[in-house]
Amino acid sequence: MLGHLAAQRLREIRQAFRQIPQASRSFSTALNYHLDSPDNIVDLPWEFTDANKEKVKEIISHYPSNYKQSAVIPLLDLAQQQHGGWLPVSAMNAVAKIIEVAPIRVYEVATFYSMFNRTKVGQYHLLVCGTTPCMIRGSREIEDALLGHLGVKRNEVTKDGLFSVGEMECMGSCVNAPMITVADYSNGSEGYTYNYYEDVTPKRVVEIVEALRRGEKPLRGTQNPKRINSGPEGGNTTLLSEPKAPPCRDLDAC
Amino acid sequence: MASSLQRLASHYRKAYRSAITPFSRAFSTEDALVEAKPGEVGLVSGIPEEHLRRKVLIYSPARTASQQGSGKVGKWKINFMSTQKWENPLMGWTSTGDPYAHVGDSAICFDSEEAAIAFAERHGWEYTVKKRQTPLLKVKSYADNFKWKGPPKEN
Amino acid sequence: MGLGQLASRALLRSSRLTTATRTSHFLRTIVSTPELHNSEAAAAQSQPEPDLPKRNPVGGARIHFPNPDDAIEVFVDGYPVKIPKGMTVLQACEIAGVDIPRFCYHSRLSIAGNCRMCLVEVEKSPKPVASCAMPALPGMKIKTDTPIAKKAREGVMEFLLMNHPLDCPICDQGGECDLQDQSMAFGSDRGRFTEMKRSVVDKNLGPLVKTVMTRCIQCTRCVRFATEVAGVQDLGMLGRGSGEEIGTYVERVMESELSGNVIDICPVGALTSKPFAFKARNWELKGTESIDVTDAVGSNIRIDSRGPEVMRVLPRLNEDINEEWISDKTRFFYDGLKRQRLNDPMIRGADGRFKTVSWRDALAVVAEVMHQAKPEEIVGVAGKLSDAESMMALKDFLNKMGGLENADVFLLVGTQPRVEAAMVNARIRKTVRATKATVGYIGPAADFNYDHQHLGTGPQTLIELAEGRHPFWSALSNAKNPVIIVGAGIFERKDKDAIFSTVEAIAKNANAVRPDWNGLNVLLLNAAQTAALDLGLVPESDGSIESAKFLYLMGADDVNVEKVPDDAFVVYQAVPTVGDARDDWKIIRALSEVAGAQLPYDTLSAIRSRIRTVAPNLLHTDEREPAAFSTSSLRPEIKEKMDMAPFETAVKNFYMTDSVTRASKIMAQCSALLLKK
Repeated sequence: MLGHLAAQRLREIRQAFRQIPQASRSFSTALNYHLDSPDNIVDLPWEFTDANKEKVKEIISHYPSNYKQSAVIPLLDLAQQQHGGWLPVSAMNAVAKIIEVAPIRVYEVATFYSMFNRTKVGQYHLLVCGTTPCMIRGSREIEDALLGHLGVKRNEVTKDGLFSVGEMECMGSCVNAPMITVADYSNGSEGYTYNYYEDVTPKRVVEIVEALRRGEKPLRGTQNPKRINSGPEGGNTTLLSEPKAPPCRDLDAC
Repeated sequence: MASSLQRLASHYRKAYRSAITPFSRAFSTEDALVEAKPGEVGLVSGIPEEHLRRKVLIYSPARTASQQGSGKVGKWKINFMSTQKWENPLMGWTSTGDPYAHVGDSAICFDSEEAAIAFAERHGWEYTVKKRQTPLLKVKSYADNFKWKGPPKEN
Repeated sequence: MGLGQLASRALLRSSRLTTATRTSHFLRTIVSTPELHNSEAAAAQSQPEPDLPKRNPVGGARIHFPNPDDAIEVFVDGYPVKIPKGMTVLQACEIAGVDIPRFCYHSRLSIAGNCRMCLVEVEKSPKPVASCAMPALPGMKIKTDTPIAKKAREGVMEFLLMNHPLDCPICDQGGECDLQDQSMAFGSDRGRFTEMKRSVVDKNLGPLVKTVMTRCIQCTRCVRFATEVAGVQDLGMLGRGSGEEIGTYVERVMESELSGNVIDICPVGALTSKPFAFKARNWELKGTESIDVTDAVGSNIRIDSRGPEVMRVLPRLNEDINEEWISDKTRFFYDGLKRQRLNDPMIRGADGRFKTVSWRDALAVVAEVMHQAKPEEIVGVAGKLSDAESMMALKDFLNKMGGLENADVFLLVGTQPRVEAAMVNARIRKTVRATKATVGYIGPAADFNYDHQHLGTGPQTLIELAEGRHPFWSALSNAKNPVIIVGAGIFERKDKDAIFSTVEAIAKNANAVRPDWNGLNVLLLNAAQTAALDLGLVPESDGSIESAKFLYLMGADDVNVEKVPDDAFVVYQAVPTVGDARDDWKIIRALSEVAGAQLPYDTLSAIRSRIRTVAPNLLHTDEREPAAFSTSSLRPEIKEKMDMAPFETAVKNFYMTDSVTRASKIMAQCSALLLKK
């Protein structure tokens, strides 16, 4: 009995060790500390563009002047759009200066939210939903197809700088699972779009990638031609008749 | 944390005390036939002349700043303020010329200031009592983290 | 929050499991507590016993009642306690003598409520309550010893230990670690976690704080300390979930003069002392409670020594002076005690070399020269560390600094408290943060870690203030409790009397000195200066040295040597230390005998009684003294005209202010690394 238990325990431990490579899934695109790289240096000057400075003013005006730090997330988002989809340290410092807080308070926010990328991403950042409903509907295959087609690893940018693939938690499109999101940073913060592509198949995502590469804008939403938005495939199956009037009241009488 | 352990310990101590009371009564000061005058205890214990008049410091050790537990807080100790200490050249061990050097901190411990003073008086030591520093509990609130900062300053 | 939810979920699950069939799969569930939700059993347990033993607050704590009418009564384990309204459940338990385990809660920092170790049961509450963040309400029945509370703590402890490495044998915190203590007292003997433990990259926080971030349990005490007390917003909580870590993101050292305190507040071994690393175990050390001499604050410290060697310095609680913090200089200067010390008497021979001699010969030579010199040619200079009475009777000047925390306006004249007295600065900062007190500063541009108004650089501003012409005057005159702090640098100036009388005038106009409030303070640089002022030694300018034939330097290391005439005989007496060195007072006493003018004291106590007649307040160590001087008696007449030269910085290098700190390697590292600007 004891020997059996020991053997079982050993198996469990081995199992635990075998899982390491998979267990190190990271949701964020970077480490939780900064390492200098040629395009990401603390002292690199970084500023909002003149057009965005107006937007900054607009965002700041939403908050009382002694609660400026509330604008940290919108400003970081704006900075990320302007900087091609990712936030260098110098951009975070610039935001800290605008909202008058210590830089570390901005770093805390930027590291907390996985939608702030702290390493370079492609012009089209493809985010595959990996949460349960999508996973059950085959998000792993979707990701494999993308990575295989682009020849990159997760969070790696293709050589032409066009694409990168990341993972995202639930985006609320579970009814159309599996889905990917395309964050389009190719046109700066003016032309920035963030589109959902739902009901994708391994074949369809590759088509979307190729369309994006050609500069087209594939139709967002469900990719299943037989569905309308989140409706059932092939048209409605319920609520087909006219809704019945409430039993207690005669609506025509009023 | 430590207080629960402490309570447990004090419980045992009480039990232990009650067990030894019948024997120790004969020596306690209240019931003794001959009252021990201040300083006499040292004299009858055969303590060398030069150590009969010691200067001691009675103090209550503070809580270690890095530990939260309060089990050791509130005790009273006697410090003999011995500074004769040197490194023994043979082995590098610490030597001392004062037989009392380690007595106070490692051996004698009192529950109250009065007990420590009484002990020092009985031994005829010249003592100074260091005031015990205690923390001050002030009202604190989790909600303070989110307190309204007031209206914006007008420029 | 997450931990707590998980813990309560685990709790529910395990209780469900115990009612279900138990198989060998559940062999590793920790405790079976079918009575867990049995409220009758718990109620029976908490019935107030007929005679409740008197319970004292934890650590003998005093309770601050802002308004005695606002007292509420709560029951802790059936024991009724009266507490001020607004206190937390944890504080109520402390007052009832129950020490609640905690990691993130620290009485001197804001409440975070993230470690969840302080869970207790509150009657009618469906879940265990995080006592540190929960305000106590009237009639609340708190239970700290029930199965639910115990189970909750055990669960939290299991979560905390999931990612905590089991490296206590090689951890410097081992033996004085809160996690160690509390896992012994409240933890389980086994855990259910079979995955790999996470590891975190260590951070470089400078020459004082060593980090082993894998040991971190994310209590955020250090983050809150840096932000709230030290005033340097360097540390933060980065990342999320299991990847969460404490760090600075961009590598930078902690540029704070109080950074050493994070070593104390860290409940685990994540932040430990770098100079002390692997030097000793805490149970080998003998603590001697003492007073800090490196500045004039008089912080209460505990000197831990192993054998004859000082191993480290720790703060000691004193609510009035240093709370539970000390500055880095206080904490880490001790290695200077061991280096560059004068252990034996030496005489410089004809060849210009120093030769070790016996005490008898040395004293004879000094006495002979002293007899040849005329009285006016004899000059004595007492140094910074030659204390009124062999380091024991150190008088802290903060003693006189009554109620900094009640002040609403500060006026700092020629003083930079951040470098001159870091603890005073921390107090001012605390007040500024808590009550939005305004701070006006006159002096050279300086580094402050709180909001302040730089009014001017020199006496001109003082005159404007005294005459009520300065814009800051309205703030000062409207203040209820104004505090004026004059820096020690003023006393080095030729026009010190004129300046001081102007300051007095300001104090008088602002009503800063009244029977119930003393708002005029002098911030001195070191403890000996404080003691010397009390004993009636007056700081003299270097001029008197120039005419000296016989110069007695008692621990005075900052004398301008070039001014000493060539034919003068100089006696230098250093701060006593190990070896054949003697205490300061013993040397002087022996010299007096050889010179034929015997001083009437033979013992330390005799000196002390002499001090008692001259300056009684010096003998009350580590207690706060009420203000001993009144403004009128200080300097009644003004002899000199005021010099309009701006005030100068009194302390150029925070880490090196006297001979011992200058000899310290750690202080040298600090000033090299942290002061490069």
